[in-house]
Amino acid sequence: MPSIQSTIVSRIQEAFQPAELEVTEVSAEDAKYNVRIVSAAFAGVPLIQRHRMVNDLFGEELRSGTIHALGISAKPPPS
Amino acid sequence: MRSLSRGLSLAASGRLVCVSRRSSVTASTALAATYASANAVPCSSLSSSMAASAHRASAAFFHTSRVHRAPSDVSDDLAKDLHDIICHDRLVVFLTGTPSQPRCRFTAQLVDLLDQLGVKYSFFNIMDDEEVCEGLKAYSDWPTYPQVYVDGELLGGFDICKTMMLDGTLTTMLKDKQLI
Repeated sequence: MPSIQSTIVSRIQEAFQPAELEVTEVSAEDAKYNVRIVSAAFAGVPLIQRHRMVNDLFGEELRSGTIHALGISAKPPPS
Repeated sequence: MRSLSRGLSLAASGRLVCVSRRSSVTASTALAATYASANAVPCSSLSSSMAASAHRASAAFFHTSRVHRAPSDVSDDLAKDLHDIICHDRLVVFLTGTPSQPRCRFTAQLVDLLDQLGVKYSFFNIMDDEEVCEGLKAYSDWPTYPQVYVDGELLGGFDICKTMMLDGTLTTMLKDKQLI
């Protein structure tokens, strides 16, 4: 059983092929994580849609409470 | 279909207006709502909202293999209630707890941010209503709280508000809309 953190890493890598990726476990007890993603996949995408793109990867975990809170920073690489 | 009567009542307190529903849903009516969900038909406003969302996604060249959640995931009655709450004020926030007694860090930080802006808003404590809490996640395709709505449109959660605050777009938007 992979850790939640490694699941987050692998799923984001597969979906967005990020130039930069940082996944932080803010609180194991509260199941809170922060992700900082820099990926060309976010170029031209409105902020709220970027967050939806990331949230959608973890829909089941967020619904079940396996992930309680996911802090998201999602940006395209500097042009 | 059984009619679920949900009236909305308000409790004014200074700049904050708490939006709540007059009666809570009993177990049997909650079950009725669950069954009604299977038969729900999207109304025109939901359809246009979904069309706009699809257009935005298309314009962003965003493709997904997952089926986007349909508005019919929530019953017509619940969708109407959610719409009414969202549109109750120009700025409506759904909090875990209340501004004076936030129940999670992100709600507390959002309240601080809104206070810092000096903006008037209405809030709904999602911990008071499980049906709203779960229904709104599906309705807005947003899995967490707090959630912020401006003129009936989802702005996002605390992350987005914080990002927009830092890059100045939140203040600009609120000024453009004459909310501050």
